[in-house]
Amino acid sequence: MKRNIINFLPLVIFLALVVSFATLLLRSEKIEMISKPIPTLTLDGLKTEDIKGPALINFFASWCTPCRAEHEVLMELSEKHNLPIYGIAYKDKKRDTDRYLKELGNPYKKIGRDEKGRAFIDWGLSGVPETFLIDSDNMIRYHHAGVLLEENMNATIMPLIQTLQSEGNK
Amino acid sequence: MIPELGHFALILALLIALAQATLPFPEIKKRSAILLFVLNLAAFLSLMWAYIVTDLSVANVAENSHTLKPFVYKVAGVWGNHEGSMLLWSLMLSLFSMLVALSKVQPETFKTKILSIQGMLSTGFLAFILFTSNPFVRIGAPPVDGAGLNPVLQDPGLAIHPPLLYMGYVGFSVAFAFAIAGLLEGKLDKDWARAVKPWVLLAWSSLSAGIALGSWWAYYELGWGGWWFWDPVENASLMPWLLGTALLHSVIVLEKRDTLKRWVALLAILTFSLSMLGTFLVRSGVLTSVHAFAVDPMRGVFILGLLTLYTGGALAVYAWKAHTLESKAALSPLSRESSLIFNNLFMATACATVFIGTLYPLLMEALNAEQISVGPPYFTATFVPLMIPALLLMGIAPFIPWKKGNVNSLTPRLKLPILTTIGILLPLIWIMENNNGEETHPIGVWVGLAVALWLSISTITEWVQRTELKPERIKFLPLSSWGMSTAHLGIAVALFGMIGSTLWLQEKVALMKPGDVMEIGRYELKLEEVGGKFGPNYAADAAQIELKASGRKIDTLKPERRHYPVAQQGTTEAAIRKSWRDDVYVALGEQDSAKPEYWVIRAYVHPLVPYLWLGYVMIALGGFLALLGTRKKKA
Repeated sequence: MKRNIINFLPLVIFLALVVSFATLLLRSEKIEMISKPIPTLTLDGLKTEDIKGPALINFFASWCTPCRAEHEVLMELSEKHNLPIYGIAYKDKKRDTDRYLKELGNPYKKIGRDEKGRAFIDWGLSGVPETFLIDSDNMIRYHHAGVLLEENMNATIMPLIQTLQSEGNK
Repeated sequence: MIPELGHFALILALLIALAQATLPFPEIKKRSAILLFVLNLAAFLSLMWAYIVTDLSVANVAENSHTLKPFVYKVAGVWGNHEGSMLLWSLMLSLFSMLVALSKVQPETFKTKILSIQGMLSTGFLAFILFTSNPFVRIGAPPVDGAGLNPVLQDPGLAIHPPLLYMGYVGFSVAFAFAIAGLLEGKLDKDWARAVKPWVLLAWSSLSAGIALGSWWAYYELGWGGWWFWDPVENASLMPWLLGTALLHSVIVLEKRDTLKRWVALLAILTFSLSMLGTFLVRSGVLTSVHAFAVDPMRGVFILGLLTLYTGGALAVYAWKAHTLESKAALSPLSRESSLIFNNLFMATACATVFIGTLYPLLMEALNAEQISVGPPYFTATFVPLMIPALLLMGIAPFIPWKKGNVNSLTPRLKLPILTTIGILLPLIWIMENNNGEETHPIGVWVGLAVALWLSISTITEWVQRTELKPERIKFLPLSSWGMSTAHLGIAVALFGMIGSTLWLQEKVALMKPGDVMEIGRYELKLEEVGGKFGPNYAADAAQIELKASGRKIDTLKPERRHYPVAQQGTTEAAIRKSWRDDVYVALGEQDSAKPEYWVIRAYVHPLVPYLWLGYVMIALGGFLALLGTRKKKA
């Protein structure tokens, strides 16, 4: 019997996985949505015309543990910095979202329900939580994937928010 | 002194493993395998000693233990951390190698190759321990006391959970070595299958038991009110289990029909590869956070290197040698072997979905250096739909004969279980929908119940038809048959528990002060008081809750919130009242900061959850029964 190309397939796939994993670990760029207007939203509870920047748009879910971790940061932001936060609950049942917000507090000005995950795709998300900062023209100015930590806030987001808020006042 | 001896034993072990891997003399390989186990054991016991006497000059002990910790948890603390668990892993690897060396595996050249491969595995892992994760490192200035074991891990379930899990993971290394040796020899046939089957069964049963214990622990210790969270750590153990299940069934096909050779070889390689991925990624913290790579890049690179070397090497052998394995038997579409191939397809696909769902967030994290979770919706959408046809098939497959089945003879045998399932299901739906008032049950409940009913009824029917309920036939039924029926029925029983505890789950959270009453399902909970209490190494708030069912007092529940001052960590000790109908699960939450007499009380009623544990036990027991069956046949 001759060697069969198919038998090499597992090896090739495995090596491809290793190589892509290794390169991904070394590379850290990503196609961004920065400086683009926000995609249209037609969600139950939140439509494009409801949104008025400067504001944060935060994708979250009650089943998502990292979201819990950033919740306090969001609470503080909405209480102390007078910045509207629009929440989009990704693939979450209303009952669960309500309970989640009842337990941890509600930092959101309005909440859109993205049960089908449509907005998730339109906004080019890769998971929850993700957060967008938009300016007074509803243009995306900053995109953060993953948990908002205190240090991210202090280092990049807060200065940006202050710039945007002063721009908006002009 | 003793830790130094342990360290020295580990260095010797590395040399011996290298000898076992490379020296071309069969007799030396066998003796090395035995010596390797002894040295590993010496190193392991040295570390255990350091834990028992709490030798704080050993960094590993100082970081993970404490003089005040109960004795059992001092011992369990040995494998409750990265370095120690790697040592346990290495110990088990050498144990399996010694067992192979002492077994009657034939022919000699085949056995020699297996021992070489096991030697190579040991070499890599011992080098990993010695160069990046040495548990015997001393510290210059020992602290006054240790930093304590993670209090969440102070639990008997968890103390034996890792050893069982590792027994499973490492057990698959034997099948891995068998597969490579078989590929190299060009001999992967019925005899090969018969020889490898006990090892696969042992690994599979241990892994099943390990996963079950982990799930049990998450349920009653973590206080989250659930038993499976699609957490990367859990997924890491589920993946080898799924492929291991496929391997177990395809080995049977190979044994009976001398076919599926390449597939079996590939499965054996991949199952162990996923086991390695599971342990190392979890243990190194990479799965929970890519930052572990950054914290200790050497460790991460070493792990990636080992995985690439072993899996890549094995797949390379497969690529170059698989064409020498020929499967002659033609398969009829309606036969036991074909149904087992479908089982394999389902298991492998399910494993792939879990793989993607687990590694994709990890890749995303690598991209963004942030944590993201795809969450249960992904798994509900991908994994569950795959399991429904797989479970339906599982009920049919045992009825289909080997080689060639016949629709005409199959239909009458299936008539009874099908009609019984429908006969129970329809009235059940009718009764429950009518008793439920306004609320209707989600469709998932009925699909799940139908599958679970079908699987249990068909499994029992098959057993009845096989034995015809005659005592002498029951007596002489092979243990492997008992194993199959028990494990399959176990899946059905566990399924009832899963459906009840997820789809019928009732849950309430309330702010309560002493004297308040909460109603949940058929129960009433009255908070009597919340007081302080002290344990050996913790302080706790303890609540007393009176539990009433249909107006009668049946129990007093005492959930606690413990605080471990040394570890600066808290745990939730939920109180559970178990019954065969449902579990009442009460956890004490935080004290209200504004009104200190109020406490957050979370209560759940989990219907049918005991059947989940019973099912788990049956699954693992089924595996062990089949394992016993393979031993008995030889004698």
